[in-house]
Amino acid sequence: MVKSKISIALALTLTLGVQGCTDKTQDKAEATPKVDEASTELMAKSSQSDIAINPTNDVYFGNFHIHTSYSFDGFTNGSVTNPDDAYRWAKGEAIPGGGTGGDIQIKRPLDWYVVSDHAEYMGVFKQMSNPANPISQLPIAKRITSKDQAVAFKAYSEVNDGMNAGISDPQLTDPKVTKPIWAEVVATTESHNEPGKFTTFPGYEWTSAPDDRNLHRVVVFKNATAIPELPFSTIDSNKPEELWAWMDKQRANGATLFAIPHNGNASDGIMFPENKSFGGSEMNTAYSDARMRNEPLYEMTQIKGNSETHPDLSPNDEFSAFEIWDYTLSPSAVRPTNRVGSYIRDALLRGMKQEAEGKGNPFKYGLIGDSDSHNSASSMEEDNYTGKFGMENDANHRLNGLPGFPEANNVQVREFGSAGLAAIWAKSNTREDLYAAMLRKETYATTGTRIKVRTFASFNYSMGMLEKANWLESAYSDGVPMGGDLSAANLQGAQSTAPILVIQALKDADGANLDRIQVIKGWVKDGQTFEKIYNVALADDRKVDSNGKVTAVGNTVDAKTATYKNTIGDAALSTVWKDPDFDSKVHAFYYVRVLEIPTPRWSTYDAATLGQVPRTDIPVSIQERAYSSPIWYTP
Amino acid sequence: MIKKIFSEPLSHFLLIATSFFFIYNFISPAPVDENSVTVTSGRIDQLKSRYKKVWQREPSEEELAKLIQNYVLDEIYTIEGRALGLDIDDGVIRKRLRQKMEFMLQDMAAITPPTEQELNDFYLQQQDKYKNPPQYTFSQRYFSLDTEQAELIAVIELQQERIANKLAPQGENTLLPEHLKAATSFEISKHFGRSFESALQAAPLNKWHGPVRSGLGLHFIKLEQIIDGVLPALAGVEEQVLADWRYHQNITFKKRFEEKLLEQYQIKIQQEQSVGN
Repeated sequence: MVKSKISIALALTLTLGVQGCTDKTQDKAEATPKVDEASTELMAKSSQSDIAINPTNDVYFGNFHIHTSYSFDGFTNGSVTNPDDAYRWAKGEAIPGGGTGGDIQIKRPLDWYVVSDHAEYMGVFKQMSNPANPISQLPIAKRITSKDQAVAFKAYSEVNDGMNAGISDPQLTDPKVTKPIWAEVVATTESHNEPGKFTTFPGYEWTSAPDDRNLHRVVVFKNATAIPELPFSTIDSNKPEELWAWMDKQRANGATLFAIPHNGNASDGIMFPENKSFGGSEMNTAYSDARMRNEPLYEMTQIKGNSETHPDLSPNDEFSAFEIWDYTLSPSAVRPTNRVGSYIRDALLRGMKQEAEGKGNPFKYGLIGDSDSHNSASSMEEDNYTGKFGMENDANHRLNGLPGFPEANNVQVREFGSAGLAAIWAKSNTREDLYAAMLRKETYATTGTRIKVRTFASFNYSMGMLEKANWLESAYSDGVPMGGDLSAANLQGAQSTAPILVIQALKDADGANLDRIQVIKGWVKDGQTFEKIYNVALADDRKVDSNGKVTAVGNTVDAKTATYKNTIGDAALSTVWKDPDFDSKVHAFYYVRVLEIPTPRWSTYDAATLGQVPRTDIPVSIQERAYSSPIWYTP
Repeated sequence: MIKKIFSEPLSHFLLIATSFFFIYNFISPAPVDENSVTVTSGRIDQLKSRYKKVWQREPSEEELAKLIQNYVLDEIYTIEGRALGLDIDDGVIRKRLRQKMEFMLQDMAAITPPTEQELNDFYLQQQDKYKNPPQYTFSQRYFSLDTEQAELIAVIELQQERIANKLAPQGENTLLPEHLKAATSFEISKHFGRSFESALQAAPLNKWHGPVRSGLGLHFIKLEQIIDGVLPALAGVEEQVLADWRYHQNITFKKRFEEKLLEQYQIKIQQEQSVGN
């Protein structure tokens, strides 16, 4: 019955199809001469020169670390969208969210965005459904695309485990399949780049995780010039040293690129090695140079947890237990055992110690926050959280457990934080200016909100400089911004014998008030590392007491309705701070941490949506924050 | 009429699916006898090349014989399994069939380029996206709500006095720019929060005005110029419009296809009447 119906329809289509085609060709031919190419070109040119340049820089918020269904795990875990959708999402369009939920849309669009799907099997899992592609004929394709989630997940786990053990299925890495996919991703990225309005960079993720210990890096290209035909993946090598060597080679070929490591927290101590690296390198100048030549920035906070520091490493830091995600990458929720080598504050300290020992500083990182969402949408808005994977696009599932998932994995999902943001101080929103700012590390991380932070340091600032209208120009001309360097040479003939930091912070214009500004200082003396936290600006006229303590800012969060009030905290905080404990003979760094007042966590918004009491196994409220890149002092 | 039939997603689909069918049959004709399995030379080449991909070498004669035998058994199992009806209601097979059909649909949507009229209609319908946003040139002075209320009122009154005396108000020194030139809605909400643009729209020209509220506190503003958003000619944005048209076409094509399919079937849902909630 059905068959005969189709045959009739078919016969009809075949007869009419030819006429239809002719029809369209004519339309197209008529349309062509009407496009005035000269005027189009003129418009493009004039819009280029219209881009306003701010010599004292503006801040641009975005993400480098975004996956789509082109990532093998993105596809398996329910993403239904492509790189094109991802860029559309960042610009403010609604896109399909996958899972059992509806469309997803950002409330406040971003300035720039990078899709960085896993290099390994990029786009291949998705192509398994495409009958025109030979890989859809492979037996694994049937299992990967199975409707039975258990079958699909098992097949995915095998591929994933194989990848982490250095074994790959050559059928899935055939360059004939993967080259056109990578070329398509680069072309999509190019098509969404709008100088002055919205910036994109071609990128991908190198997914090395030996024995489930995370060494992942996002690789970012400044543009498509001399971009390699295929990305270097962990199948080529899982050693960072080999990645850097490949990157050096790309540079020699004319490409411009860097890598951003992330999730030291899930590396079980191998992200920032103490003695010998996973790749077998000794900690020496050659290693430090190679690492810093290729990696100016570190992604210190993202969905899979915060990597600033751990309470075990910084027991005196009352704010250290923020969105800690204490797992390796094992699918069976295994805890890491090594804290040292997993967190950035400790790495900044040890890097400086190595430098003091004459071995160079391999961990002189600028800081950014990012996402690692696998659903095209970064999902940094706490009140608009849509999860890391497509299958989490349902408040009940991500909060109370995904059907068919072991409870240990559901706990991991619940402990995901919403995404962070990378903030870049640049002259304009273009590839050229953003890239230059990243190389000089004039960046900061936020845990997702759009706090504004400026930090400068010098031996020549005046304590009253913030009262001057042109303080910003003097801050640049007489000192260095975040990510910069001071040295003993700057001390000669200087007005001050200790570094003076100028710090300004302004709340997210649509967000919560600020609690405080802190300076986190690290230094090395007699072969030992030290850290100290200074509360340098406090909201609500609070003062540091004689024991160095500060009363908490308070908490206005109403868990039931998932709301808060800006009746506590300040909109703006600023200070000119002189290091009271400076020793010009030792290495030191200073980075700034700005805390917001408590606001509801995504899980609290979800509970309110579902009309349930907030869960007790995760925090009800969190203090979102920003971290500036450090400023280093070298004696 | 002709055009209408041709643009029906279902017709597109059937056309392409049939060509697939014909080509497939041409390349590898099906076995005639129900109880026979024919392994064509093309099939043997395929088995060989798949083996080569995995093991990076040609299969030996013995290995090839095994591959062929395995293929024959695959075929026989498939025939027998189908005869037993084992393919019916198999979740894996069902999901695969749907995925294959969806994939065929995906790019079919944009196979026919839009006519000039269609593109123009789409461009007008989505014009908010292509409009150059309105641009505001203005000065502002900021006062946070962090100070005590009485003090804040005094400060505001002082500014109003300054304005009355034709002096510019004096605000707090923060990270906010005091003068913005041709700032778009996006830039304004980035600096001042989402509600601020409406305050600018209501402000008089070339005159200090306020205080008005933003996401950060209070402001005096002096609006110098508003440039209305204009829609650029289609020629100037055609590439983007065409890309968007394809993107939307993909989405609506699939939706229409599914609607058409649903129309052709009588759907009976035998759901038990639920009691209570």
